[in-house]
Amino acid sequence: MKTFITTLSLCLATGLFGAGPSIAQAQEIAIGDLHPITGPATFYGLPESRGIHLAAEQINAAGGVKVGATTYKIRIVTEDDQASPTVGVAALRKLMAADVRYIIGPLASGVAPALKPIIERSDKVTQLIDGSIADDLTNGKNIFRNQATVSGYNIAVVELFKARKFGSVAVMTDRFHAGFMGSQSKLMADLKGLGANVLGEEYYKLNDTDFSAALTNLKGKNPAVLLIRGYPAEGALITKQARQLGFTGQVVWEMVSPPSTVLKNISASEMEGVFNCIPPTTEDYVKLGDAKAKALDAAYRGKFGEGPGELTGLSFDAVHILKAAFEKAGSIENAAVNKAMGELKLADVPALTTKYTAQPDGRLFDDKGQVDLRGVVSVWKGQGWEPMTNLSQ
Amino acid sequence: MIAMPLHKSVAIAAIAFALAAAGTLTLNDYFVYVVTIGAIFATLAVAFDVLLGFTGYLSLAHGALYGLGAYACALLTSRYGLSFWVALPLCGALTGAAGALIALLAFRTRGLYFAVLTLGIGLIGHQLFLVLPNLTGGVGGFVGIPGPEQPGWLAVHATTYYALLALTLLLVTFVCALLFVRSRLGAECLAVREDLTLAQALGIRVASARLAAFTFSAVFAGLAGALFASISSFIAPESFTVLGTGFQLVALVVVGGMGTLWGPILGAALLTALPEGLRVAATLSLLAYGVLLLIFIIFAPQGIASLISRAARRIGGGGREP
Repeated sequence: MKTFITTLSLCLATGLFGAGPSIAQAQEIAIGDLHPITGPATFYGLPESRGIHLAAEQINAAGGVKVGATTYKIRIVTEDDQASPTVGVAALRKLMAADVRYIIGPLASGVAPALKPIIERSDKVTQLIDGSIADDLTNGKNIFRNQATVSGYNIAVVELFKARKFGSVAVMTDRFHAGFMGSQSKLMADLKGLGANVLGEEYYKLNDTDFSAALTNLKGKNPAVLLIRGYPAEGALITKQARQLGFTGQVVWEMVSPPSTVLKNISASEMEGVFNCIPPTTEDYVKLGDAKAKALDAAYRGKFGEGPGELTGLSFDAVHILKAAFEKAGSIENAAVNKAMGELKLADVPALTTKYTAQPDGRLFDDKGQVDLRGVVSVWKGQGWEPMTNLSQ
Repeated sequence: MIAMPLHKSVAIAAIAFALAAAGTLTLNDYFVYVVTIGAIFATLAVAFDVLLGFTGYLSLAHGALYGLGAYACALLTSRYGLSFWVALPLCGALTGAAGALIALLAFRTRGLYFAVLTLGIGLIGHQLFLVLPNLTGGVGGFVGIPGPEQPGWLAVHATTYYALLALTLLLVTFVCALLFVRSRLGAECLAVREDLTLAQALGIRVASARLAAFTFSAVFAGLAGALFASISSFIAPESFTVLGTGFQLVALVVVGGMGTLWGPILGAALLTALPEGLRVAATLSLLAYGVLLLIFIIFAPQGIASLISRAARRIGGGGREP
């Protein structure tokens, strides 16, 4: 008995009952996943977070991240920013205190500027933004973004107006969306430059439900286009109420809009023919038959029992971009990885599901740490969005 | 606390500050941040309690006053290049002046009408932060606010330094509030709270007492806002809403214990730590926050302070409360 206890103690002490010293312990790289898992933006944030977990799981299953002679497994540490700047800062501090040196997120354009000064001051954090579209967030040093900027969204709106020669527009914008508010005057100037009269600009906020006063005002000006910029729950209600008030012009959205969220507030038939101007989503790539997007879609459905969100591909890509940067840097130190991020070529990340445009020298990011990802126009047909190939028709 | 001699109260506060400061030196960056935010909200709550707990007026304009201090500090330090230490008293003076103006207007009413009038002022303040983008950055927020200059001899990490500043401001606010409520003006405020008509009949300077209480709370709300802006480097209107900060202040004081000064500090500590502690169950954190408020309002309307006082009396007296 005494021998048994001694043997047991030794076994426990040396860890032979676990993945002990006889089997090399895999080293880990912790990556922070900072998204709104709860709160009003969950329908964006949760599928992004899941995309990150899925990518990490697949990378680990395929052998992990090979940095020089060492192989690392990716460990995802999720924190919920609730799409609130105050909560987001606390979540970031928590990740940094846990020595998480690589952060993917946030989604909300109100959160990202609050995190920026903290991350810029630290030489122990690298951020890859996969959601927020507000301008001027990246620095090309330790803050990068694989999501479009709001200016990238606006390109699609301008292209649409150019192709369709719309003569006038009325705009409704979410007053609290930092990205859309910050780019509004530039977009209006661009549309005026194309000959479209801006007949009115109205504002609303998240969770508003009655837009009839603003819409009655705008409808009285008889615009050819009602442009709605914000989030889909309100976008759907505005579209529905505009139709009920007798607006017969073209409705154009500028927002990432999962059909499941849209259809909670409007019928599919009322959405028919609405345009949306955003970069292609995961669903768009699937519909276009892209093999990588289809593989992501299948894996996501297999793991979570439902389809991916519209931004899932960006979050999935973000993990692969970091993996490529670790391997290119041959180090997991931030300074080396930051340098590798800046030098990363589009071809260095073959797993990307999103069709980014390479910089003229083939790099993924420009000098400011921003990818080139432009908006395209989709149209609502039946139960969801369809990418448009010809804007004139 | 009122019954305790002033020097003893100040000494206890100084010891508590020293313990909190020493504890902060041992914490990691995240907990230091939680302490910093908790101390700023405790400062706001103590200042607010002078008006609500000691004078009996519920103001919903304090979120806007807090924001005014924050935006003033942002403008003075980043646009006009002033040192934080020069900007800080200016912010306090500015919000004090704004508070006095609001008080002159608001004290024409009383009770529910006072609360509704200050609610309107709070809403106007928040809207002004949104619609004046050239001054405030609008919805995108004010970016790039310089942090408080750290003296070279204080060899601690910046986040620890910010926490020490926040704790120092809390100590200063507490001591000033203590001096205020024990002054003649403070006694007059208490008389106003207990019975306004009787106070007027007794010849108490009602107008000056409540004007002083409002101005006092506005000054320290502004100082807290200025410190918040400077250590955050970024502020946005969302941090200064009536529904957010305005009602949160009421919750801190109610849960902590109105009219005790140290009760609101406990309320701020609990209600700042709770959402962070429940982060692992984020979907339940707001629910838990609401349930806690209900429990205190129903079962302990005098707040944590009264629970502790009762427990102390029981232990000290060894028997039931009278």
